[in-house]
Amino acid sequence: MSAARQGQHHPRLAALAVIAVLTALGLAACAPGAGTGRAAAGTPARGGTAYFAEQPLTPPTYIFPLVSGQYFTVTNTSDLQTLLYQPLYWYGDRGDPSVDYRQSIGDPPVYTQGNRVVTITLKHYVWSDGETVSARDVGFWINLLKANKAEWANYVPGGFPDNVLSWQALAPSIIRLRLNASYNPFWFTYNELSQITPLPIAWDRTSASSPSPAPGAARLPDTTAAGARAVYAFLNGQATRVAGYASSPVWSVVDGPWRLTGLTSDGTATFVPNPAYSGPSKPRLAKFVELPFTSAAAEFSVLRAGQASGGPGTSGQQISVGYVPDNDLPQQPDLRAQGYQLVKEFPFGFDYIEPNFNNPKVGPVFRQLYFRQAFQHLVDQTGWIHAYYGGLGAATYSPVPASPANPYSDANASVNPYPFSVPAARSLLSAHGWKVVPGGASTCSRPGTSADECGAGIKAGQPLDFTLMYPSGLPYTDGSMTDLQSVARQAGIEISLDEVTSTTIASTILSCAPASAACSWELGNYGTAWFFEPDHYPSGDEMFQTGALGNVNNYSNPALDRLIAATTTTPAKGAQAALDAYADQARLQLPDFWQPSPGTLVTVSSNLHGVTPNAYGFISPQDWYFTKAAG
Amino acid sequence: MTGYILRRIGQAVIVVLGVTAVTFVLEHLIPGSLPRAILGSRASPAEIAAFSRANGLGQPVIEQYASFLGRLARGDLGYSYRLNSSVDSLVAHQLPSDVAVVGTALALALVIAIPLGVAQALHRNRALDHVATSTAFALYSMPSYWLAILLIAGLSIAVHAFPAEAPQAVTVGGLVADPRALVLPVLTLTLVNVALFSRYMRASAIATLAQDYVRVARAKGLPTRLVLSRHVIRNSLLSVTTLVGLSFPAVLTSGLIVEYVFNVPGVGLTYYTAAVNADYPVELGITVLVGIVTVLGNLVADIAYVALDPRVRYE
Repeated sequence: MSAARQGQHHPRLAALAVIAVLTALGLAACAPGAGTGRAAAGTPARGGTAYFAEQPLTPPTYIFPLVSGQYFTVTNTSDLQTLLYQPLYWYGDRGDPSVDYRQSIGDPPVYTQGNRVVTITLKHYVWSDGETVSARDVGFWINLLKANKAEWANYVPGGFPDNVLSWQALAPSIIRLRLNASYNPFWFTYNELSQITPLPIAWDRTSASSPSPAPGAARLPDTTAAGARAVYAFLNGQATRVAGYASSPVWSVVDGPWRLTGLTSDGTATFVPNPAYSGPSKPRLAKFVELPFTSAAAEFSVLRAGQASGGPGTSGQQISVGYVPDNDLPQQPDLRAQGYQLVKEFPFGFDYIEPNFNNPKVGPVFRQLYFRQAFQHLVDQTGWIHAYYGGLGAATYSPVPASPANPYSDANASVNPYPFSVPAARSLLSAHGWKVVPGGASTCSRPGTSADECGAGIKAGQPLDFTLMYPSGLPYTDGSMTDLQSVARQAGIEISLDEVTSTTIASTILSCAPASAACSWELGNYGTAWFFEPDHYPSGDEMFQTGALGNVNNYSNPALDRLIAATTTTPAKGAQAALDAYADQARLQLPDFWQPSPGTLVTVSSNLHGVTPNAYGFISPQDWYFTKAAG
Repeated sequence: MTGYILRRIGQAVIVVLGVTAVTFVLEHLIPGSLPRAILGSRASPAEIAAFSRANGLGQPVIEQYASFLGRLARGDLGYSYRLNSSVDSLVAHQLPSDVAVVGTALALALVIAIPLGVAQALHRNRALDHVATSTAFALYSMPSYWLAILLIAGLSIAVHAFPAEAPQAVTVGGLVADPRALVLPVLTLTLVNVALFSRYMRASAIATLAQDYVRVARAKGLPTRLVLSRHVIRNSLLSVTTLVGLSFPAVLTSGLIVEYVFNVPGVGLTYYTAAVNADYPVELGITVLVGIVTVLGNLVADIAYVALDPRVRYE
């Protein structure tokens, strides 16, 4: 099931269907926080090749970390770029959705002057060309971003880098950012600094023939907007030569634990340790290979055939870290018998169904809180997880979810305020002026805006009749949506199911004005969770704030807007209280309908260890190692 | 003959242009926002504008189509919205896998189906014919996806006789160098095609065997071997030739299921994925190629008629 490791980062991902997921990492083993590193039997061994299953039909295709939405896939960012070019901060400390400062280039950021200035000290990391990773490299990234915002998949108007007025290298290893306002340090660290990847000054040029600049050189191209655009154009052009990545003098300058030695046209990526890597975890594997697959079914066949079907390097590689397609979850006993370690992964995120608040026909109904409460009462999360998710689902009651365990959610996140109950749904509808017709479409019998009437904009006789889009190819969505249709009918709500491609959903669920033709969609289910990556702090500013880019269902609630604004601006001392206030209000107000977040079942070879959790979906093969059998 | 071929090529150009025009129009009739389908629902207005500008999406559809034809005339099939690759490069990299798997299966199916069909005709309504017919019906009615999964379960997972995936090399040499891995995908396609071709061949051979010239040949004492090779097989091949001609584009597209199940990065699956993911340049580019191969396949079949039947003449 998938979520964390879908082809594209959540909403952006809607397009790629697929099942998804992998693992990589976020392995929150059957016990949260557990990976495969504990209780390793046998003796740790240096060397060996680990084979990692890529998402179906999403080979690595773009190496430059300043990536546009076209190429913003998990495979490109987490499985290629971050292995070579280390982000300023490493997010995901094993299973916890927090910064792993030990693995980060930057020390914890220091906020001063009322949280308007951020100072970051860099640890001693080096590029493979011998240069030191410096404050100037961070500034290079910011300069490129400021001049090429339209090319950055994570750009949000007003967000990073708009909210950075200037940067200054106080010393080669210290950079200071001056911000345009006072921000919540947690929010800025997790949502804005998360977007920084230091780039080598060797890339600060506008053509392959121009000399590679020295770090201390003055007036490099990136220091002007025009120059930064030219640098981007050059680097983006270099990034189109996928076949030449491994031999490129540009892309071979790395500071991550790995360097790329091969990338085939079908997507087989081969990495070897970067001998110049100066981080804390030196790779113990001799080689790390990512294998492309045309389908989850193909991946699973190779998984089941195991190593007996062929030798590494040709067909039939044993998959060291793979995943189990939803349809094949019942085969867990066979996989265990084969010796695979099975690990459940739940990314840090939440899943939901989008109601279109601006739809001219049904929007007025969705704007009634009592109706949203009634609808939420029809979502049988526990039953769905058992019946359709194969147990691989996390119940969601809040946009700051309780699972996986994290420091952000409060106790309320584990409490369902609208438990599954058809009678409760019927009562809410009856109490608000609807003539409930079990097995059919209820109609509004008392139009008006009083407490016991249907609500503003709802006419007499208007039926409760909706069309719900959901993606094809996801077994758990097929089952749960059919169940919802059936249960809703018992409460007098007619739902017509419209099974479409993920691409259709992504291109249809848009923020819109009620009068526009684009506003005809009524209910939509992406089938995948909102995943807090690369904006790791679970504030609602990108999704529920009025006018936010991710607020595609046109939700608007001034009270919630104020609470959301507080999550981004409250100083550290009050940040958690602000986050709790927002989360508690959002979970009750239902800007979306919560549904279970799908998880992933990851397989790990019996002799591979160190595969530890990462709640944001990053992989750390530098921590992996094989063991020799004892005795 | 030369004039005929030139006319057919001219017709082919018109057919391919028509197919591209229909495909292009259909793509633009699909509701929803293409930039958002590609960039995601959270894409910023600036990002959407940049993408639209870079891909000419702001132009009228007719101008976009003209631009496409202009690029096509220069041999440029387009650039994928998602895969960071030109379409011709994609096809060039994937074609060896398709040729190795689908091409081999087609050839193998013919080698098996032609003598099998003739043998069934010669032994019509006897044990061999009944067994072959039943088997053919069973195989032909079996979804190839199901057949592929059965083969993997039996021959790969249960007894480890063959790998569960096709060779992962990207060159023909590399593919052929791993023949064990070719067995299951080729076998899947071969079994289905044998069922189809053998039925055609059987029916055709039965009709040919009833012809007067066959009876005359036998009556004058021509050995059965010569009757079959000179008269029966050659004449019976005419209908199968048509079928084979129509199967040419299958090299590009019919391997979809096999590509999906056996991890073959082929053109068919790329085409399907492009359609699902709104990767229109890839969809259009492969449509052009399939159109060309379809027309060429039919042309080759027509020319083969001349070789098989001297009475056939094209003006």
